[in-house]
Amino acid sequence: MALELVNKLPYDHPYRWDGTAVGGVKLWRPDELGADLALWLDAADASTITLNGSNVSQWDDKSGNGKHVSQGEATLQPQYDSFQLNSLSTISFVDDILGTSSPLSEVATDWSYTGVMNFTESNPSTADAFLSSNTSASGTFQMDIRSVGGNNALSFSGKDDGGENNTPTALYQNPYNTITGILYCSVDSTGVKTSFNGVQVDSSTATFRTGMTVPVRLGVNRSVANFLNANHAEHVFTTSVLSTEDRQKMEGYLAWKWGLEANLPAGHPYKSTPPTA
Amino acid sequence: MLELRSPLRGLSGPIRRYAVSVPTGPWNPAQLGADLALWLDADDSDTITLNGSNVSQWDDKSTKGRNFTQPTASIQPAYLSTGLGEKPSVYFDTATKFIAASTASDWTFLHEAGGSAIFLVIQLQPLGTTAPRYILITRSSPTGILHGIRDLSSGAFPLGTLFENGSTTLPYSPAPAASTPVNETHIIEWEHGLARTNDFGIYVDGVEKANVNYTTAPVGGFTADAPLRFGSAQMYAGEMVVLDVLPSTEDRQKMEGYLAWKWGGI
Repeated sequence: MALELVNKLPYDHPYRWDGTAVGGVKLWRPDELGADLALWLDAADASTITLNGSNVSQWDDKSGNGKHVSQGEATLQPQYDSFQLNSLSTISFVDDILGTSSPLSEVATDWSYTGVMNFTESNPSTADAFLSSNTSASGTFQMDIRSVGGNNALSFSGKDDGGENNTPTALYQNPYNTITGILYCSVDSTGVKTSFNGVQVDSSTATFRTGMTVPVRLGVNRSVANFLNANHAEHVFTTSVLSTEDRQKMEGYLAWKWGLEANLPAGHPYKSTPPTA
Repeated sequence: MLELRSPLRGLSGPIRRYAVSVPTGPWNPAQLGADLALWLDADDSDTITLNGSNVSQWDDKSTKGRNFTQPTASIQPAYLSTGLGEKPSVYFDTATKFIAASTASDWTFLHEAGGSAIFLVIQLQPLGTTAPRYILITRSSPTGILHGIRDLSSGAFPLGTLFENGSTTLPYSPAPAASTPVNETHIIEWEHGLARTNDFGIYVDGVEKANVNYTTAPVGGFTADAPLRFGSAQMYAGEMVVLDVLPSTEDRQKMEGYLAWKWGGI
């Protein structure tokens, strides 16, 4: 099986990601996107995690933009490595929050988000969110859980260009609490598109291009009131909508890293092998 | 061969020309030079001599010529073309089967203070017994080293070493910290040497799982009384590389990277 032994090497092993010197290949990673990379949080990279006991007080941004997320209050700090995906550490949020200290200004009009999540809450309240950059009065963005047609659905929502709150897309229907997968959404002048495990699941022509005006928060919704308990594996924001090729590489990278490649659809270019740089 | 000319052309005196050997291609164990004591590679079918579908000889790809043989057909391992994923393997389907080198004195370095390392790519199968299965042995009796694995009923499979110098039998250790799952392919390394912080170490997939010091008897000072033997447990074997020195961290990681990408890369 591809990467069976390579994935077992330690994360910081000198040949874990680039095996060209020893007969392997260089695997594609988000830093191949260069300046388009706005925020990159990777729970598998222990060197980016600052612990307060077993809790996470800071999770460092690997994009180079220094948009680390942190939490100074111990009771709101998530736990590190209590849940693993593909033998890799995740960060477990249970009524916890990590946030940037300033808005993600790199994300303006056109952008994308890709993440790997494992949702654990069995009975969420409406509007519980795992990622947001809003307040109730302003801002643009939230990944949350809402009631859609009587079912709970993960959704993208926010304040559109016309100033109205909008819930345009549903990422996945019940039972969301068993979801482990790759989430993707893109925002540009044509609207919003959302994908789950490499398959587009919804779209809207509503536009959300006013930029993020408040810090990004993990674990809670835009009003900082509704928590969505989940294990966070990786989050990546880019400053433009990914090309189809780059989106598929991102999905392939995340799938092969977190052991989700079997969830990619037939025909996905990285269903049987991971992307290379 | 790359030829370099001296840049000092404007100075007086003869212009010297230098010839420098530049290795080509990716790193492989041959680049360890004289430190390479054994290299068995199931992915190189030219090194396998078959008796039907069984392996009667597995040739050493190092310069030492320490080929492993098994003349008795009933205990010869099988050669499978797709045993480890899509790669071939030498398959030991019972614990009675093994293959061995020919000269005991070739393996004295495995017991010396200078150190040694054995790298394996193997997939162990359940042992079916709590008794140790010694995968690598240089002992008939009473001196030698035995690297093996045990099947504890708890589901743990500790790797370990039994080190005998004729008067002291050191415990089957280090265990159980080096436990490794069965039915999965792993890179396992046993290494020893007084240059280590502790004499013995076991790495699994590039992670140090055991690091112990045998204080009751020092490493070294005796010779093996049997040539190195490989097998005696149910397993698929892909590659074995033995060094007659304690590898540097850099060389250990190169070996791990080489084996990982070859046997479990793309």
